Amino acid sequence: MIIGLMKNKSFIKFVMVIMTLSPHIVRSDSGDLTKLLQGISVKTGQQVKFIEERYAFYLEQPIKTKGQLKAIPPDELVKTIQSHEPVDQHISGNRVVHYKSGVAIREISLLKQPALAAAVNTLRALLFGDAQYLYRTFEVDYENHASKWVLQLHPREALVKKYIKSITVTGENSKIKQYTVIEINGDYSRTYLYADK
Amino acid sequence: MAIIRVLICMPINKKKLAIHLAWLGLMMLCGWYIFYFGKVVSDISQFMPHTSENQQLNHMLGELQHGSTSRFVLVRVRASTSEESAQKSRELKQYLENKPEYYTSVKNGDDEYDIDSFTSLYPYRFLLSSEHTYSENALRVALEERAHEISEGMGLVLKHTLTSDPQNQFIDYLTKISSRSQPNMLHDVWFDQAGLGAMLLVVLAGEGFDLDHQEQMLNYIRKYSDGVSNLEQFEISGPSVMAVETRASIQATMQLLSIVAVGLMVVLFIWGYRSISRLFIAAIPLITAILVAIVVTNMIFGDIHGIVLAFGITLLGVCLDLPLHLFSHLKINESPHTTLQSIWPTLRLSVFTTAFSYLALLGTDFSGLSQLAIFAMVGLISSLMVTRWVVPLWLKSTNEQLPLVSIQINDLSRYKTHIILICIVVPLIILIARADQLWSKDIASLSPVPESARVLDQKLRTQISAPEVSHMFYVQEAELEILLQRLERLSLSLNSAQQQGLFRQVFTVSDILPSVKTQRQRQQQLPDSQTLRKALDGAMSDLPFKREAFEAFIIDMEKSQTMQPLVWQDLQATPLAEVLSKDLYQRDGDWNATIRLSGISNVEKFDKWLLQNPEAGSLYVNLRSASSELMQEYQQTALTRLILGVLIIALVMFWISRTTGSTLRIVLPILLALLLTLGIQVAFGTELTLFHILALLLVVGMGLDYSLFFNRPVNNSQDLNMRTHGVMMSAGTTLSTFGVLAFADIPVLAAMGQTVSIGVLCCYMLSQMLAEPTRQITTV
Repeated sequence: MIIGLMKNKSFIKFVMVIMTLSPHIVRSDSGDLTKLLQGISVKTGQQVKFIEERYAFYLEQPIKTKGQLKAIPPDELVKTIQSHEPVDQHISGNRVVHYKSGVAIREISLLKQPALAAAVNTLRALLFGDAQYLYRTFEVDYENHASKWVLQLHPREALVKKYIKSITVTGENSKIKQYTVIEINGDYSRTYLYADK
Repeated sequence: MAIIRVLICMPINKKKLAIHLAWLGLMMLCGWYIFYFGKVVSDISQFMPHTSENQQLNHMLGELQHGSTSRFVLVRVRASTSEESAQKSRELKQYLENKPEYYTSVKNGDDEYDIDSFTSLYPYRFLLSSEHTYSENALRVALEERAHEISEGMGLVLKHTLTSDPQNQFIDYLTKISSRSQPNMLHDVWFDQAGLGAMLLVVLAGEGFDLDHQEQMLNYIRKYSDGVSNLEQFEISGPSVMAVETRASIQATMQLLSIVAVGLMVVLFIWGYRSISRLFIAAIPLITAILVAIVVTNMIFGDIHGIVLAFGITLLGVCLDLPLHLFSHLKINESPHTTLQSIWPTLRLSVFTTAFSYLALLGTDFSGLSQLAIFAMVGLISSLMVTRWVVPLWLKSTNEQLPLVSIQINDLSRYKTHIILICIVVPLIILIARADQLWSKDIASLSPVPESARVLDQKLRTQISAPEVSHMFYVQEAELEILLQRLERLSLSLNSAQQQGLFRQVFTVSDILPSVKTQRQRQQQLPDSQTLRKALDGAMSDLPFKREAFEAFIIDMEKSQTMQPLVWQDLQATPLAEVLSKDLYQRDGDWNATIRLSGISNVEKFDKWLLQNPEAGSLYVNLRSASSELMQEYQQTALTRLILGVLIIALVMFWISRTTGSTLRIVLPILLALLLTLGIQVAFGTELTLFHILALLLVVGMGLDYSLFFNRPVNNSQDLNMRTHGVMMSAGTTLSTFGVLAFADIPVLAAMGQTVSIGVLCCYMLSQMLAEPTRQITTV
């Protein structure tokens, strides 16, 4: 059948047109993603700013949060949220601890929060170059177009699937620009990351 | 072989046959009764007095020994790094979870409350929580907090409960329960305080105190450490671990003791009697005494306590002396029966007076002492009967006089007065000097658990922040609802005491399961849908929530107003059942609850508060001080009864001899031996326990026996030699068994061994030294 198609000149022309029209769209293999993650991989103490917007069915308008995100290899994230009372979130291992004025106000185990765990762990995998985690946990769809790239992640695990529909990460070169977590009921949160200057 | 030889040599006639058959029949009857009806209890609370004042303490002691906490096992796993330790903790957890038939629960801290497992409780949230109102203002505060939490990244966490429980009532309810003292967390698992070893809490399956089964389950835990590399430390402790280890330790000690003691006895019998068969014959009265005593005690009390059994058998050690006196007095061409007749009055006097002295143990609140008295009296009299009627049948007349070697220390008699003075003054000085440290105040000193196991258990308990058991309130009611209402009242006053800073934390089961009455009251306070909607509308202004966002909250609130309150049965399918079972349980048809406190800042202030709050005060149990007071009371009672026993002996002796001198010669060595034994023990830093006093009862029995025989009139040097030989053999056999026991690493066994050894040695020396055999006790 393939040989038959190859013999069909109009089919070959169609393929050539497609290739001409989109010369820079490449569906990546695991090697490309690993290379991308190696590029993203942060150094100790590297810090970016973020703005997070949360959209939920119960919200009239999105709730916006902004602050700084610091990554400390091998797996620690420190998120400082600016508000009238700043909150520091320390994410390490399977634990998230929220601090207000240096005092721990709440502690969350990621082992019992699969949705939060998937969101947090994916961000950590991207920042710390853990491609294996992404392939293990998600169906990975990676596309790049020139310097820009899009990573579509669809959960594999039933427990995560119960809460998360997909995670979409977009970026340019070795920078993550946007990180969107879409929940199963349509609620979503979008985080914009930009350089801390 | 020896016993077979004896059997073959034994002449048979009708009378002998009848006696043998009667004895065998008695033994078989005892064996049958023990097998089918014999009941040995090990609960320490059953050894304590059953007065109403001690009911709470007894219950708590029993619960600690047999309740759910008795099946807790603490495990500490340490690898080269804390990360590896955490990993081993997870591996071990998984390994143990593969055996659900062995372990009802395996926790290492990585499984906190999962909200999904509490789904069945979620509808009750408005009836379970007490700290929420539904005014516009209260709702506004809650909604503002939720908006902040969402902005702080909690959106994914809150999303399932936010719209139906915007005040977080259910999360607060669970948080309150889980906020009880938690161990140190590291790498998402429990760790010790130094952060070096990971901690696990395992609950063994099964009820009761089946040590064989528990040993099997514990071995499975230990097996993990055998197959794992890089494990630097693997520690395991808990009541069941200690029980199994103690049993093994006692068994090992007893095995060693038996081998050494039997070896020494064989040597002693060969040296003293040129015969091993007499060792078996000597055991006949002892074995008979033990069996008969077990049966009679069981028949009278319905059961026999393990402590009574152990000490009863110890006290019956004196039974071994009876045939020894007979053996030592055997003469050429004199039938054993005739020999027995000659020493019978002394034997009878010794046994009956000792048994009579044990009457002093009766009539106290301490049923353990009463059991011991009956056990010892019945055993002593049985052994005397067997020595009188059965033992001579197993002996044959001898044609050759054995060269009886005996050690005479009568030469010291000239220093009698000096020795008596020294024996009184020196121990008294020691006892007075250490009067405040004389007695052990810790009930743990009664435990046969080796010191090292107790230290390890205490260490692991501290590391995992195990609940304190010394300060608690105990409530008992026939009906659960009444109990819960009572707990709620108590909880109110305790909460105010907590606010005053008297203690750090208090946990009441009514926090998990409020009474039906309280839940009904809360139902009545819930607003109707219209009121709630109106309050919500007002509360939501300027907040980012949609108007219809909390429709589920309104619907659920309406349902809550008419639903049946949560009851105990509803909790059983949730993880809270396990939490609840530690402090709320049913025993013998009654409901029992405990309220545990932690972090008492000032004991004096707290005691004062208890006095000002009599209801709370009446329910308070300070396990440590209460058991300590009870222990001291027990020790004092036992000591008083011991002295009373010696007084009874003195009175009997005086009644028989009618002379103070004779009475003193019999009783003084016993009193001096008791004083010396206590003095020597205390001088070596031993804190006296109840078991020392009980061991002294044996010393009294032995002492009387030695005194009576040393003061027995003798006609010639051969008589004197035989008499001394008999007493020496008695003391020798006692020393060979208890002397070995004195070196046991189990405190109880060591206490018993040391006390009896020192006491018997003192009795032997003093009674021989002070004896005046030429002066005849008239009746004797």
